Amino acid sequence: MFTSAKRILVFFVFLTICVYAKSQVEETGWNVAYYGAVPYEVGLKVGGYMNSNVKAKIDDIYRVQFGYHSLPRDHRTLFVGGEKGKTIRGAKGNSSSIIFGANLGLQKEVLGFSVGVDGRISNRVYDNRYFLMLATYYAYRRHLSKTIDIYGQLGYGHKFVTKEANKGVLLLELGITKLIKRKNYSDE
Amino acid sequence: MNRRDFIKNGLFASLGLSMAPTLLQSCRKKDELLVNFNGKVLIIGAGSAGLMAGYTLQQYGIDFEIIEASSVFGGRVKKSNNLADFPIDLGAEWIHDEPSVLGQLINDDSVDAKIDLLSYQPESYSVSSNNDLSKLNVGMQFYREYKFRNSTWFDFFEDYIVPSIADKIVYNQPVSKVNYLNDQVVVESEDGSIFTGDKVILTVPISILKAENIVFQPVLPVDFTESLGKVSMPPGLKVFIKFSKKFYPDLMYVPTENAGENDLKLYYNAAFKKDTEDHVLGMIQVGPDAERITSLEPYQITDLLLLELDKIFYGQASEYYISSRTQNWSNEPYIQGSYSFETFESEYIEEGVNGRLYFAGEAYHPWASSTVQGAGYSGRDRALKIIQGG
Ligand SMILES: Cc1cc2nc3c(=O)[nH]c(=O)nc-3n(C[C@H](O)[C@H](O)[C@H](O)COP(=O)(O)OP(=O)(O)OC[C@H]3O[C@@H](n4cnc5c(N)ncnc54)[C@H](O)[C@@H]3O)c2cc1C
Repeated sequence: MFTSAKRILVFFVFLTICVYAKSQVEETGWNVAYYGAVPYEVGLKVGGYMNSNVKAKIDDIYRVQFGYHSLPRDHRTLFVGGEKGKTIRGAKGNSSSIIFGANLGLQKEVLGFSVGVDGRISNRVYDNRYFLMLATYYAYRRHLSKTIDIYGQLGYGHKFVTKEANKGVLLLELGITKLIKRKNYSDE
Repeated sequence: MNRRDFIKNGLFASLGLSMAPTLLQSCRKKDELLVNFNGKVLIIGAGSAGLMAGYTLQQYGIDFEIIEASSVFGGRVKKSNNLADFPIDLGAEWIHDEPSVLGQLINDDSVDAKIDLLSYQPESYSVSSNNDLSKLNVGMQFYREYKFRNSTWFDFFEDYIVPSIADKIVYNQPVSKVNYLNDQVVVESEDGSIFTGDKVILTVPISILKAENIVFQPVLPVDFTESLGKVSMPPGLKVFIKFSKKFYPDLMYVPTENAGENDLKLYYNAAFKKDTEDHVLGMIQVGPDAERITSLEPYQITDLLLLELDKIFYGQASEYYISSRTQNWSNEPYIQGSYSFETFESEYIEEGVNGRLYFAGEAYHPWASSTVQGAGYSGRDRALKIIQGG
């Protein structure tokens, strides 16, 4: 689906965010999430997670993520993006944050498909569209154990798309973060 | 009596050898039913319900005849090939269900169908009020339906349902009398033609029943006519306007002046995801407030819509106008309205009246009323009821 040029671009976006965040990192980990534009679209988002403590009790969250989501028979979307979040309320074990994100993506729009008597779908006809999506989320995160966090975030994304009208989408993400390095909360 | 008891007691005991039941081992239909009827069925109306009733009876080898008032089959499923380079649905257009519903209607594994559809989730959506257009491209993700891509609902019936029953449809025979008093049902059309059968499935729109265009002997039960009174089928029409440029969103809601909660007026990009370069804007208006517009001539309707669009789009409608096609369903003599706004509820729907007169059509389906498939399912259900002995 992706050409080499796009793969290189994706790699560089990832690298840039990693390098930027590296110096201040307090926590690092990996994220896996259910991700979709509610209510139908289902998808998967995976990526790296970093948390840098700039001021006491205020966490700066950085995430760089790859994702896929699809509305069966309508489109398949592959994207890469970065997110930066500020914790607005935090206590030991859980926190709420506001997150800003930007995704660049490829949307393979299904123009048409065939259905058989058995209901089986075939012959999908695709058209490629590219988009930039700017999104804002409200997120709630809870520490399950020393190395596992779960989180849920609900957001609004505005999509600037080629070949179709720009539009707003409601986004839902339910994920789990596996921490490689955990911030020491008892310091605060 | 449950179905098993029915087979054991009712069937073998009460029927002679000539009416011995046959468990049809058909390779065509998916369901296998015990056939407990070998008479003739008259079906009045060749819309979705009538065609599906006939198609089902044909699958079970039951004799039937479809009596249609107009010169074509389809009823509120109709198409135009003339306005654009793609066929346009003048009546039903959306598939208000999952795509698999088409296979369920065909109900025949031996058919090698590959029906081209499109996923209908408009990409731009606006609301116009007082000629101000507000873009609302949020939330369309909550809505999705399907449409035929290079064909229509009419093509679906023409390709998959009608071929096996075409020689059983009699056209240009508006039924005016149904006599179901005796064992033989006698149906008379306006020109005096007589049709006889053992059972009759009436699939005319409820507006035709309400207008009392058909005389029943004996008269329909009071409960039935009371239920009929509770179902409305308001006026409705569709207009398609071809432009040389697309200046409108994919979907636009334009509230009418006197709109009540039962009124719907939508403009929509009829060429959305279709295989075409043509720009066709559709307009559907259904509900009590459509009365005013459906009483106008087609050219007056087009003028009115262009005027409305010009105000919203600063004169672009008149500038890019090429041609238009109006389908006024209220003016169709054998339809007289749009679709039912309430579901018809009566014990007579399932059981029939006197065990001879059955009703089918969009108004009678419990969970898919006002749709093509709902009408089709109700036609099939009535046919299956008769096949199983009524
Ligand atoms: C504007 C509009 C838009 C619609 N959009 C959709 C949509 O997008 N999707 C959807 O699923 N549904 C839609 N519908 C509804 C759908 O078209 C109907 O639910 C369905 O086609 C009705 O089928 P039917 O067999 O019950 O009735 P009909 O199709 O009306 O068939 C009845 C038949 O009876 C015949 N008849 C009438 N009187 C007599 C008589 N006296 N003697 C003999 N024959 C007679 C008529 O000529 C007609 O052929 C729409 C309807 C309208 C009007």
